[in-house]
Amino acid sequence: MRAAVWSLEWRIAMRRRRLMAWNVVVPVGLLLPVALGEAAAPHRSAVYAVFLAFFGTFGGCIPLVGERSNGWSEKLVLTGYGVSRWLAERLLATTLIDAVQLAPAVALIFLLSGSGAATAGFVVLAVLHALGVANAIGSLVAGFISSLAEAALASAAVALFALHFSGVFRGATPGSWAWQVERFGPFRPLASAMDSMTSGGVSATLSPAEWLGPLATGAVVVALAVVLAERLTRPEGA
Amino acid sequence: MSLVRTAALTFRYPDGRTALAGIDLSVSAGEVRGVIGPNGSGKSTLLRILAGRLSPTQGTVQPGPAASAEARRGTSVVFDRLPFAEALSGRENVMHLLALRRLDEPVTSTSCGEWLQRFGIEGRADDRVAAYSSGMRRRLSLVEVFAARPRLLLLDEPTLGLDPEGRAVLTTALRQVAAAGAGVVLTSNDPGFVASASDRVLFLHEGRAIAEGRPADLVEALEAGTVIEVELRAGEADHGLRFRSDDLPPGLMLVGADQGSVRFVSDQGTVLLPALCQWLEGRGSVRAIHIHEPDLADAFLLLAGVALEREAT
Repeated sequence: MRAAVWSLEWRIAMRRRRLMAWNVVVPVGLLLPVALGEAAAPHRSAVYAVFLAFFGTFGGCIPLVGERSNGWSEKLVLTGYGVSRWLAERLLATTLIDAVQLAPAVALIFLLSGSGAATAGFVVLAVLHALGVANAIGSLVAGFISSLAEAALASAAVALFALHFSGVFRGATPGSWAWQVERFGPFRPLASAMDSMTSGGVSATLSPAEWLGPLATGAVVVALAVVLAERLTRPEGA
Repeated sequence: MSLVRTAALTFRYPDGRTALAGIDLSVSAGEVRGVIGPNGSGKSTLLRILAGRLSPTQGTVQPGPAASAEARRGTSVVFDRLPFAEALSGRENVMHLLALRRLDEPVTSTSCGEWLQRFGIEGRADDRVAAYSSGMRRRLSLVEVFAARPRLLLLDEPTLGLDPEGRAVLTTALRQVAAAGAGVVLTSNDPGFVASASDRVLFLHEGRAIAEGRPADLVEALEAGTVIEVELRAGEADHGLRFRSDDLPPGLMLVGADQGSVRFVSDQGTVLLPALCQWLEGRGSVRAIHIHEPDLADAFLLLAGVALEREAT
């Protein structure tokens, strides 16, 4: 069975060449000065994590609000294509499109960090996971918001909240309730990967067991977004 | 065979406003059903319910396109908004939409080309939709609908932005798909188009069905005589206030007024024209007077007026 929404999203993305170029150039332009600057490693790590999470949540939320408002998402599901399948394919496509657009920036900051190949795999997995979760958070927010300005604010607020409880800004004291929450933080792998990268591979990566919590939270967020996808296909006032 | 049927269909918005009240509608295979009504009469809401996008507050819709994915795939819908993937060409938009319906590609490719040709946009089919005019976007939306070979078509104001040639193509296309066994429900504010395209017409007024039947029967049943349409000079306003029907010469009835003209029905042909001209003096500057037999628009205005009077009493 063909993945029609997946191929539609990719074709649209490839045709919007100027937007694609901006989405490659802007991350490089914003992250390169940080990588070349003299900020402390934890600060650089936090900037990278916030930028990557925002890239995913904004990209997941704002277009969906627009498409809901102009009736595009409704038009697609009126063809009989399953609503859940539509959103699942769309999430997968936008996550990978985001990854392609961010690849040059992430590659540059990784090379400048002096980390070894052992860290590279962890960084790639963590960024992919973070972009998937961020896109799903964006979809969830879009289901409850009707204006683009509110969508930008709300997705930023939710992303910051999730980043905070993933230990991006300051790790919680072991054994505390915040530490328990942090084990399930959806951006914990991203925080850990950025720490590992900016420290030149000195910080430890996550063990397979430590991945379970963030993976479970990510799965819940994606599942919620897919279950509530119907909300994204009802134009305002219709 | 009935493709979709509603019984005592009622829809209320969450704020309590009634959009539709007690609508009975049945659309058979091979039938084109027109729905006429002014803005806010409930036409689009009715179509949204038939498309499975809204659930009725009371009453039933059977079988309902939302009943299964198969039913949805067999239903083509165009609402008033016309969203497209702006970065893609017209042809790509149609092909991707058909792919979502999971139709075979060779079938859709041929069907797409045929309909692009018929609606006169084959020459621009490979241009980005972002460069299309509003009329071309309307035509493209109709290509998407017809190329899908649906069993049920639901069209909301399909003639908006269409030129006369486009309307003629649409009318022919509707007749053709109906002859092939599809059912069509179309809403419009254009009585001329509805009369030419529809087998039966439903008049909606403030959410209620005020009449239903074949277009010719609805006009004939009025026994309305002659319609006198008085066109007023630009700048004339507040016709509703100045053109009250209570002191009209006997034999004339005011059936509607808008920004540009006032319509009367005369039961004595043009004999009452001098009396009407005398009555008009001081009430407005007449630019032209048109006299014609009643059409579907007059039938609707008369029936809506009767319905309003009935409600008032």
